[in-house]
Amino acid sequence: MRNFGKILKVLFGGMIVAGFLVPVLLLAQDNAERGICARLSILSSKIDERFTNFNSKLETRRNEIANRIETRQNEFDARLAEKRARWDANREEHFAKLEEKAQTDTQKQALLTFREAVTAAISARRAAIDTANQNFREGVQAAIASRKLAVDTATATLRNSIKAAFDKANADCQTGVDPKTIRENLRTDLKAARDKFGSDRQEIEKLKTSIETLINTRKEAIKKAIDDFKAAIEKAKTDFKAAFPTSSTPTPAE
Amino acid sequence: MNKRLIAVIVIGVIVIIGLFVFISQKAKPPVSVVPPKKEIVPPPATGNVDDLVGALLNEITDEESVLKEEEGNASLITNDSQEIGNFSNSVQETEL
Repeated sequence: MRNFGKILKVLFGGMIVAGFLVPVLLLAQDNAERGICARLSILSSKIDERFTNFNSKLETRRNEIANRIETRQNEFDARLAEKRARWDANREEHFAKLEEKAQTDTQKQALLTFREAVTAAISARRAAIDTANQNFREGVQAAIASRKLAVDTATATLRNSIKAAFDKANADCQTGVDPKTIRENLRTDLKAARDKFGSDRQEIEKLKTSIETLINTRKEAIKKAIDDFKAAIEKAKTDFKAAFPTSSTPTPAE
Repeated sequence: MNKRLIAVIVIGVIVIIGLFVFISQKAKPPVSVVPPKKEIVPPPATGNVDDLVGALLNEITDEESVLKEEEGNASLITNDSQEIGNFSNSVQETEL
């Protein structure tokens, strides 16, 4: 009996609170609907402001990416050139030592042939690697341009869709369409614009596949250049040793 | 009284030493966790053709270490994903 009394009290209290809240909420919604026409220009300006801000941030990021890529490429070129020069100098020392040991004309000719074969193999390997790098860099630039175009198109579509939605709402306000309908239509149109942008974004992120292709193509080209080089060096060494069947190195003439 | 004074002095000294150690640790530059890049040193010339060929193969390994670094540039392309995603927030239906 005592519990029943408590339940009644709670129910009664809840009804009083609901009695106050429901009209307040309904009034707020009604006001929002009625005020939609008055707030259109403010909302539209707010969206424009955000767009400008986001565009600015995107541009800053794009510049950062471009600068970073350029810096890294320059560093890469410098390090590669430095390494190549170091190994070139070392190879000259190796050949000089071999030349000291080559005494007969046959040995000298064999060494000359070997040297030419090695030099040609190195030139071919470096040229193939440089071409692979160049193609890779061009591919990276193309991917950047492609992404930029796709993003700019998607953001422009979003902006135009939003503008069209607000234009329509403004026109409806002028012709006295029910504010509730205007608000609902605008909400639906904006949601559709956002959804479209979302699906456009997903398509843009699929461009990652082209990046993977670029990396793999470069890897394969470099691997082939190295494999070809190794084969050429192996052949040159075999040919060279064939001229000196008793020793792996030229021996002084007697 | 003397015991108390000694205790205060001892505690004070410990606190000062503790502070000194703490500040000196903070002032130390962070230790680099990036291992130094391994450079392959070209082998000395011996007059042996096998050593020359060995040097040629080492040269490839050394060059490959640099070649791998460039691949990282491709992943930088998508570093603007966050900024692109921001545009989704330019309009919020809940604001209506």
